[in-house]
Amino acid sequence: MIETLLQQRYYVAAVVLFSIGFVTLFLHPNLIKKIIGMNLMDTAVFLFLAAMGYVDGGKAPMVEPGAAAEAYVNPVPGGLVLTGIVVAVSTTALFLALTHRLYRKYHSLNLDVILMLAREGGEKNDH
Amino acid sequence: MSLSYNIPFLSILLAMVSAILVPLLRNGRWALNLVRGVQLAAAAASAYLLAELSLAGESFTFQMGHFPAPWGNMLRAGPLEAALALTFSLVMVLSLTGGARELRESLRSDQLGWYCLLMQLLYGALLAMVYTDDLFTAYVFVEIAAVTACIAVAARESGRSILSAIRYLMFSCLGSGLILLGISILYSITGHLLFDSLEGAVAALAESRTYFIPLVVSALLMTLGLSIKSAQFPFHAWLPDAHASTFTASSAILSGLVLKGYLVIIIKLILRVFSPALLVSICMDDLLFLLGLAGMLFASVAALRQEEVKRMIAYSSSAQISYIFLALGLGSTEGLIAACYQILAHAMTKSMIFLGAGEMIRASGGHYWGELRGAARLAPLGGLAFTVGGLSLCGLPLLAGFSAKYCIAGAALEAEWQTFPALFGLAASSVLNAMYYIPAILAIWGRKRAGEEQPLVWDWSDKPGKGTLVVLLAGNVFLGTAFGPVWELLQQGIALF
Amino acid sequence: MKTDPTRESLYERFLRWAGGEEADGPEGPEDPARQEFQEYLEYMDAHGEMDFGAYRLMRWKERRAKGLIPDTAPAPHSPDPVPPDLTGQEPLRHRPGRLKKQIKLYWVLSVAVTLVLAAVFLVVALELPAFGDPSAPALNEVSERYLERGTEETGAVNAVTGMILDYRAFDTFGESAVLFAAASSTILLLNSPRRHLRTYRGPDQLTSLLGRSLLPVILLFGVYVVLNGHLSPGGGFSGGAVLGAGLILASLVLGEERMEQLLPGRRTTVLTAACLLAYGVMKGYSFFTGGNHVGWDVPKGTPGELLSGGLILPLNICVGIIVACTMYTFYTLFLPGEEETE
Repeated sequence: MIETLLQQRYYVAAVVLFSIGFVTLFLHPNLIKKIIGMNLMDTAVFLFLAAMGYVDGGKAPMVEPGAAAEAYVNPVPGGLVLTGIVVAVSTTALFLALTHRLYRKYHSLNLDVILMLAREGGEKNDH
Repeated sequence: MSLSYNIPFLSILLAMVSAILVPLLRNGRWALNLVRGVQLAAAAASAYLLAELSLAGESFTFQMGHFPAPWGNMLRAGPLEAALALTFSLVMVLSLTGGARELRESLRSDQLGWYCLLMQLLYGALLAMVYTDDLFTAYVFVEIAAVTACIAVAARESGRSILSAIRYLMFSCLGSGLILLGISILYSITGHLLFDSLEGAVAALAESRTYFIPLVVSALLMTLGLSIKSAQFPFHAWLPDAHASTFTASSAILSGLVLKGYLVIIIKLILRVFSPALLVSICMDDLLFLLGLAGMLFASVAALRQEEVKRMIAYSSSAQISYIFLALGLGSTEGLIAACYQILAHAMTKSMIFLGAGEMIRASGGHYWGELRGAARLAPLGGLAFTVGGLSLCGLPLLAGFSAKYCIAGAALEAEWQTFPALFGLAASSVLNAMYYIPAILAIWGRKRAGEEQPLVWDWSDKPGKGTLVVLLAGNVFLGTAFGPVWELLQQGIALF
Repeated sequence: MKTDPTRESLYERFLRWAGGEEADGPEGPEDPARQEFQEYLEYMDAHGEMDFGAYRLMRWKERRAKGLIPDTAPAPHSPDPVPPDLTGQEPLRHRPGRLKKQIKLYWVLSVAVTLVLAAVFLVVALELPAFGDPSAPALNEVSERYLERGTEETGAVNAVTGMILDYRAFDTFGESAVLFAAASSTILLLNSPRRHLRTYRGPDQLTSLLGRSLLPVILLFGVYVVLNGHLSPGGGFSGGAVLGAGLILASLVLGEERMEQLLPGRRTTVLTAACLLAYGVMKGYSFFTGGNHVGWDVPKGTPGELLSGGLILPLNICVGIIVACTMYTFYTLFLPGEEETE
């Protein structure tokens, strides 16, 4: 058991990171902290993907002519992580832009406070 | 190879390229016309493709680039995909046309351009989700849909819509994180990303029972992520606010199309990756069925309590999505056909209801039932669209909603233990639908004040908007009456999927 | 609208009350807000409603103002009205404690869900192919061909670049589109016609001093990474990120006003769109010829040279420009503008 845990240490670290991000996302009313939690979750998935592509003794996949495939790590997870990072950057930017707009309107980053003020402002003005 | 095999690829490329062209245009109104023109062209091409594939009874894969599967990306099209693409294109162009007046009035010219760009990217993403034959491509385009759909909500720029957009984005990101995790686990145990190769690899794993836990968990994670995104019952918290607080065009697109895009991927996963037999053996179909059953009842009860017209319609969307989950949970081919029927019927009906409600809100100036009393007399066509849509969802024969429910009931009769709960759910949910739609319909056709004379007011100022409603009404009646041919088409499509 | 201290503190007071504070706290029971809170509690108790929170309190107040909630007796449709003697006997003392439990319940539930998820993932992690295992199922004919024949088939020495820009180029097109969508959304949300009226910040003295010598190196390195994407680690995405960071540094070194003249927002947008369009056209050509088996391949060149890899080099340049412009756009949009309030 312990041996397997040590063997799979990167995956275990990814699980821990994912849980931290998940809890942060749920329990912090502060929007910026929610965004950080979300990014932690994404990072955990990237760690998992990157670790998955590793092969014992493998080199970075800059292929020399005539070399066997076993000498290199798997290039596919690398490409997937790249896509994942780009997606995470995009959603983070959008998230921050929305947060910025809310802050300009309600002068608060606390989601509970914003919800309260939005109620108080009334729905009539919004339509 | 015939040239028409390029239609799926060309319609996706055209949608994306036309979206990219928008910032080079200076005027938002040209952008709207460009976007709608491309959608119409894609709709015509899809109709042609549908006719050809359905007559020939075949489906094909299209290689994106120089490398065959499993090395390169692939697209795949059959009658079902073509039918979905046709419906999506039509509903998209109709929603944008129907809501165009409101958009022009409330957005600055440059903002209208950005809005059109994003809606066109959303449309391209939906097409790619329909046609793709690759799990990772599906993920990338799901993300485009997530970003753009969120902006469809936030574009209105009121505090409430931005707030609901941020909640929407939060759920959406959670969902896509789970999907990505599921994809990574599946990749690490199979080494494939294309549906075709995955199917073989998953079957081999299931046969030899190796890596069985990761396999099940990855199936669960992807289903969970996609159900969060399609607002299936326990995860529907984001939906009512997001769909109710934005422009009519956005509401129609979000409720009518975006939710369906994710469901198409679930259908692909069921049919092309985890074969139905494997899912039945791990009770996944029962899970989908129970989620659907619970959602049908709970969302309808929630809709009963709404005081605001758009929120009621949004809750009703969640209930209708549950019908699709219920049909998928039957675990049979008939269930899948019924699910596809419901996807088409709901796409047509819900966008019509939203556009009709938008007309009435515009005419009466209120969002609450109290203010909407007699609104249909001010906007008769909008009222008619709302009425027909509402009756269709209640299950009035000869309308789209009835045919879809008939289809689900027919599939449920073939099932094992699910027959009775499914029929009970259908009946109960139809009664609940009637309980909130019929009073609403009576209220909008009633008089503002009792005894007061209130003649119908025909306002012909927004001709394209009115035309949209007429086309949607015709589409609804078509899906309701042409039950036989549509069913056979879908059956052929599922068989060739 | 500026921050209103009374509103802010209403929320904090709410938390305090909900946390179980007795009705005769600092405000005393006569405080109108406090009374309202008590009425809200009573209403919730009478109806057995579960959802409790500051937001619900506002909703309840609003509904009551509209006359949707009868002030005293429970609503007629309530299934079992609470017997009056129960509420009359006990002066509302124990309820806040119960509500505290509800808030705690949310915490406990969230933590429980996380723990369950973590446990499931841990089991999966132990079940997965061992880390670094050379016989893992992911190392199959797919990755083998990318490594062994990639150089010959795509002309790129870097197998990852060969994979994302040739074998699976459609994904990468979608990926650039996600970035473009995010940039457009941010512009739609944050750009306003009055934006050019804002005050520009001048160059910061210290940053300027250090940055002036660093800036050319950073930009040059970014260009190098982009151009050598098919030969060495890196490529359009990583090089573009370096270039984007360089542009942001340039804005700090040269001052925002100068940078706005050099690279106005409209120009970055057009540049991004043009590069994405070029990407679409190039890959569209390659998809079309590949899908229809026409031939007409782009010559691959000798692997290992700068001018090789067919379309990969121009594609990398396009991606690099898209990423750099998008990063810079994000930065400029989030700069503190004029004090706008809505």
